[in-house]
Amino acid sequence: MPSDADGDLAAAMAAAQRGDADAYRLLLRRSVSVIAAIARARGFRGPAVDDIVQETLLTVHRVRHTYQSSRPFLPWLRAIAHRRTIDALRQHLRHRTWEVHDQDRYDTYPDHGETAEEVIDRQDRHRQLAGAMAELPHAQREAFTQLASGARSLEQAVAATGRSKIALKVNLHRAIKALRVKLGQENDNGR
Amino acid sequence: MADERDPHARLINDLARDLVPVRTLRAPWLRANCWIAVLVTAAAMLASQGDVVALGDPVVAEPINLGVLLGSALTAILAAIAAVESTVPGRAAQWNLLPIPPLVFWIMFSGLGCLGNALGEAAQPASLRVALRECLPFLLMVSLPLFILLMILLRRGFAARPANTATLCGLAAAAGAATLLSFIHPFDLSAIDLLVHGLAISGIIIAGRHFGYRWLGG
Repeated sequence: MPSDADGDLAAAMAAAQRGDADAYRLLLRRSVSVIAAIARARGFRGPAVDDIVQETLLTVHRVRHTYQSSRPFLPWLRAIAHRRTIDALRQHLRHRTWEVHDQDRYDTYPDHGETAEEVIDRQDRHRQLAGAMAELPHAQREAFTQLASGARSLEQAVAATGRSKIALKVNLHRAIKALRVKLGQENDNGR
Repeated sequence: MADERDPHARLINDLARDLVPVRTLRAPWLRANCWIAVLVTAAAMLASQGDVVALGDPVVAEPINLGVLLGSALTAILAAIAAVESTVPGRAAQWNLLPIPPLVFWIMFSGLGCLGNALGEAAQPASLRVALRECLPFLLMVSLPLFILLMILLRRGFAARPANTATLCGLAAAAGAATLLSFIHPFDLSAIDLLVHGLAISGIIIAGRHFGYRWLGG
């Protein structure tokens, strides 16, 4: 004998089958607690319960045509929720069987990439160098940019700037000396 | 807002927004009737092609043969009905037991028939060669389309216990094939014949459970 609550849900489901969106929304909201109770009874907690609820709601939507309005609603819903809960249990067991959780491996795994501190240090150095270079005279900055990065040979730098080899060497030497002084001072001030 | 605290509110709203009217599933017995009609038609065709009088004589003379035929036919029909019922969520699990009594009946009469033929004098005992070359291919080839047809009829349902549903489909197909075999089987059941039938039917049920389970999304 269906209860009053089941009768309401059965009527809402019959209306949903006819396309009544408001009845359907109400039905799904009231179904959430029933599904969650089934999932918790199987030992699921927290986000796992929400996952099962959502999977069950999606299944209810997909197979809503299988509900027969002459029959109670809750056994129909519980059967679907049980199936989705068992699917979740199987998935959980598969993970436990085939996947290994080894905390030591995570802790001792060598990370060849930069740490967050190293990234910040590198960005600071770049900022300091850019600031110091901006204060250099144009000829020194040009010589440093062309030669210090190692991207170009002396001959290529001569061709690119139109300056002589000696002028480029002298300007590079002066630029390095000036930058050393400048960056040394900033580091001293930073300590 | 209540909706912001409810982790399912968005999904529920999306599902309700996309809602369209649906055509409800036909009654399980109506869907099962399609499959039963195919089985009965196939049986009628085989009977009309064969010598009905010659087939009828041993049935009339030996009620055990009638018991075997009725047992397999009832097992096939009730297993098909149970399989269809099992794709309606919320149906009682007892529906799965529906084909068990005729299955017991069928096994019992097959054993009695075999025992009677072993103790008495069988007119045409089937040899292992005949059982392997004629009965086995027939059972395998006929059960396959019966199984596929039943699975097609179940495609709109939802199997809450897919392994049970698939097993029932395998049983219905195997029993249906065995029923049809009775219409062209001119031999008295020997022990070796019974063994081959039993192995073939068990294999069909196991294969049906395996493939049907996957088909039903288990």
